[in-house]
Amino acid sequence: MTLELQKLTIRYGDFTAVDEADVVFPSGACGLLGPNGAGKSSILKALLGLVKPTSGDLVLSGRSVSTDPIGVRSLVGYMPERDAYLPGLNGFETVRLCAQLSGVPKSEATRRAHEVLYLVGLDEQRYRPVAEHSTGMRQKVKLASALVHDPQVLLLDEPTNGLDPEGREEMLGLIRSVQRDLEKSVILCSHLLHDVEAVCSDVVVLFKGKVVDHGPTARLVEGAERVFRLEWTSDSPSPLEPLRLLDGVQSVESSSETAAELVCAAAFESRRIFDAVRDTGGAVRSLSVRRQSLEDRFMQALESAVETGRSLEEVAP
Amino acid sequence: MTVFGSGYRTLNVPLQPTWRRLQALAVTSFKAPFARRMGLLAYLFTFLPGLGNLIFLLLTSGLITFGDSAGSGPSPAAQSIYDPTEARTYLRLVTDQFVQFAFALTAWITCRAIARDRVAGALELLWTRGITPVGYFVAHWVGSFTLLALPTLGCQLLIYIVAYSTSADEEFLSNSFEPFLRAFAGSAVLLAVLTFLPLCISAIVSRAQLASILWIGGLLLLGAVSVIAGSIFRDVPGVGLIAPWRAMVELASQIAGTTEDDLLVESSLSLGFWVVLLGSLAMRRLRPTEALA
Repeated sequence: MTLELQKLTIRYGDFTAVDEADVVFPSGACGLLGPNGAGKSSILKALLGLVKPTSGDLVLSGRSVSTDPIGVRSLVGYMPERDAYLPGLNGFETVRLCAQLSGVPKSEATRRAHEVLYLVGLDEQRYRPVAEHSTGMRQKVKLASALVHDPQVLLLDEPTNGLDPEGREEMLGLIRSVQRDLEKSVILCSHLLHDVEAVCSDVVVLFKGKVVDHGPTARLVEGAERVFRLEWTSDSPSPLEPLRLLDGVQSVESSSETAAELVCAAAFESRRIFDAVRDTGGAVRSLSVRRQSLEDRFMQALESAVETGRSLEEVAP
Repeated sequence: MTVFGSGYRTLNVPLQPTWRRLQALAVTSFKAPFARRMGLLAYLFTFLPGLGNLIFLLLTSGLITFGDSAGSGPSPAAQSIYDPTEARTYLRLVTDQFVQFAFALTAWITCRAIARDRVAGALELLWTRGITPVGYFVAHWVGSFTLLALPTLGCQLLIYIVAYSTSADEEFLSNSFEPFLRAFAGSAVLLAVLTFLPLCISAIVSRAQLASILWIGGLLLLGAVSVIAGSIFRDVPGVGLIAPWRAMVELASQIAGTTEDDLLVESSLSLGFWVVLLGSLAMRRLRPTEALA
């Protein structure tokens, strides 16, 4: 499965929501990133045939949204962001109805509803009204509804919304398994970029309706700086100035009298921080390191764009 | 959690046409009151007028007798009240005896149908599948119509079949078929409008309770206005038909041929106004983009 945005433009009156977006979403798991108003929802609406593109097209596995919106919809399994259930129905009835509305005959829909509910881990709870389900169970019902008609591509809009950390990890694991074991393509929209890093091999970044970056998630993450959190003993002199002079150190920010955060180049070695502190006559109390996340980089690029007045495309890492 | 080896299968069956998809939604809409046992019991209660008519027919036809009257057959007075060859016998089940149940069912079920889906976010779940908002509306309409049709049209049909089966009159079929058919058609049109209007209100407003209040309040208010207008403008024919319920009853009576007045155009215009007004507002509100607001 490949999804192609071909010079896609969507306008609402004078407002341009998507501006000549031209990108190919590869098969596998692909993240769709962007702040509010970036155009993510408009692309979803267009893909689901709910909004007609002003110009350009979306093509999913050779089918054009402009000429065959219902046909494209049958290839897509959509998991909405908002709480969505059918009043009065239990989990099983909800999933079965979703299958029937997608054109699956009733007997087959019944079988498949049971299978996908088992698959997502809803056992006896499937017979409870969805209105009485926990957030986690509702998310699983939505995922089962998205999967039940055997779509080629899963469109997941904030799938971990409202889940506790344990539930989030379970859902992300489930999505990874669905993508890997069922060989479904996944397009994941999320503002929790950790989710995108955890699931997606590729990412498309949108900003103000334009595609500002796309490519393998690893490429975006691998070139990231390393962020060190340093604490030194209270009797040590401040090592901030010597640290700033080190090659590869991009910034040093003091967070307290005895702590600082250093943003360094990807290849920067922590040993040099120990050496610099020791050279001032002090001692390191603790040093932790983390790779700068996709979210950090994305927010950094946005901030830079706002500060410099340049486009995100120019400042994007 | 792993899905490996879960038995998930590729879909290898031909997909159903649109009408079969909508049928599934219509059935779900129809079954909405039966989710709770109290709902089912309440619904069964609405069959009372129809079953009462059936029992009355059996009494007047002499098939059911009590005590000394056994074998004496139906009285001419009772037969004149309940004549199964006349259209009004069937029509009054809908226009008179079922009124309270019809209002209760439309306020309880029809008015809640779309508003409740909207609150629960179901529109997003449904419209992103192989159906359109218009199809979604039609499915709910069919579901609501069927819900009201069973205790009314269903009972009319049952009464007619029983009357035909028990009649000793060889001319019964030729005498009664056309009046029955006209009454049946008039009743069907009345029920179609009676379920269409509150469903439009349900589509327009965002809360189920508000839809019920607007529907019942609107019926009562316009009913009162039509009575007042009728008393002021006595010389103007059909002025009372500004009330939707009165217009529905008049139109059904015109189709059934049970009224002397010729108010077919007036009643059609009145109902047409309400249908177009509320229908266009509902369609305006049920925009596809609403599913992904």
